[in-house]
Amino acid sequence: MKLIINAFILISFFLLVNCSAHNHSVNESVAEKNEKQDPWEGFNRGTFAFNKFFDKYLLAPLAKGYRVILPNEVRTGVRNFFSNLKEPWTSINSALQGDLNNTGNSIARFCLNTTIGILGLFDVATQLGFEKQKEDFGQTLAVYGVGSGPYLVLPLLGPSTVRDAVGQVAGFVADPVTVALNREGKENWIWIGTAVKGIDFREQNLEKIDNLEATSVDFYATVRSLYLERRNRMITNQAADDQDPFQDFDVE
Amino acid sequence: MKKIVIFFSFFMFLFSNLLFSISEDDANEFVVDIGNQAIKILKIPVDDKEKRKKELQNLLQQKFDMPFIAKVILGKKIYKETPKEKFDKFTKIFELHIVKVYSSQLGTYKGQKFTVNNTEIKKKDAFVYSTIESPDYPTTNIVWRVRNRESDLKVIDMQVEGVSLLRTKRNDFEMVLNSQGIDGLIATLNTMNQLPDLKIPGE
Repeated sequence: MKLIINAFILISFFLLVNCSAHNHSVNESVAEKNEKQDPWEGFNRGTFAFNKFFDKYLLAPLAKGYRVILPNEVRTGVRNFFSNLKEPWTSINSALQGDLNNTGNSIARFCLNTTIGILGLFDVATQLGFEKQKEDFGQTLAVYGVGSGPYLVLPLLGPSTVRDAVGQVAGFVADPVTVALNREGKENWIWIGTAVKGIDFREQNLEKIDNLEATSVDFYATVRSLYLERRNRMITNQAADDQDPFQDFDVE
Repeated sequence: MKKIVIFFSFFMFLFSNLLFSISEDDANEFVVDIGNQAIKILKIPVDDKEKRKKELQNLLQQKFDMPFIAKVILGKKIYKETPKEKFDKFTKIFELHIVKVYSSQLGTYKGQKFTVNNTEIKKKDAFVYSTIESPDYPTTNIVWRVRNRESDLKVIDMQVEGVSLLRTKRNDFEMVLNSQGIDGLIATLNTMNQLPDLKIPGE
């Protein structure tokens, strides 16, 4: 297990060295821009097809069953529980990013939800004005100027970039909760937790994802576009503005 | 003569700027109106999908500059090569496609509250920042890009949680446009528009 993680870290950091901030020229076409962002498109489309197969025959049916068996209140409790366990990792990343406000905010959220919120089952912190703001290591790397690198579709985990994949590996290795579980020899709980979070996410978005696929001409390109734009916004707290799509038509 | 031309050009420049300028208050009011109409659509029972789609289409036609959005999505090169009749056909089919996309993603009314927070004027566009707050879901941020089009305010793009409608659709259509051209895209969208209504979130 450790060997796999170590190998993945090594490969990830090798790829990360090649990441540099994208600097799109003003006149590049949509196709040229996508080619730059997604040079491994053929490979990624293959992984995407595999993930769709996995989703169709396992994840989506499990998510539908999860919705039928558990009432909404219980599902919300499960979601809150796992979300609360991510707060220590958020506070570490916020501190690394120099965002002391969110460092304090996430510590307060963790303390409030773990105690008054009964082990995180209830999100009392949000009701008290401590809004959730998730931060991960991919975002931390971005703050330090590491470019996103090429778009990457990970088996089972879905859309990412090289930088964000490295961030995910760091999350597995350095998140205080996973470190504690590893130390206690309860690493199986990490995988169980990851699986439950995946099923819960799919349940929350059953119709949205299915409808997005049904209304997309090229579902792969739509997911890529959504991921990259949304991720960019999470990092910069503003929309991607590197190339205004209206520029060609502004002189009329 | 030269002075007259300069004076006339200057006058025309001022006049066109006034005619197509946009104020923060007007843009705010315009987007508040869109929000109110959208909440009304959410309140239509999910069983009445036809009415939801009809109202959404009305909203798009009244408040969005769909021909301009369609033009930008195609890109300058393809737009220039496309005869007007075919472009008009594409715009019509694209509009129906957008109605299908949004009617399938719009959920039901569960106490959502639409608020316009602030507006920024950048060059000739107003960017109106708004939120939808709901007791059941996290707050959704929407930015509306509004432009004065022929003395009428129109939405030319919207970003939901940083994701632009226009960029997403440009990327979605890129492969078919490159491989099959606008005819292929029209045929694909036409087929997709004929598909039965989808189950909407919360139904």
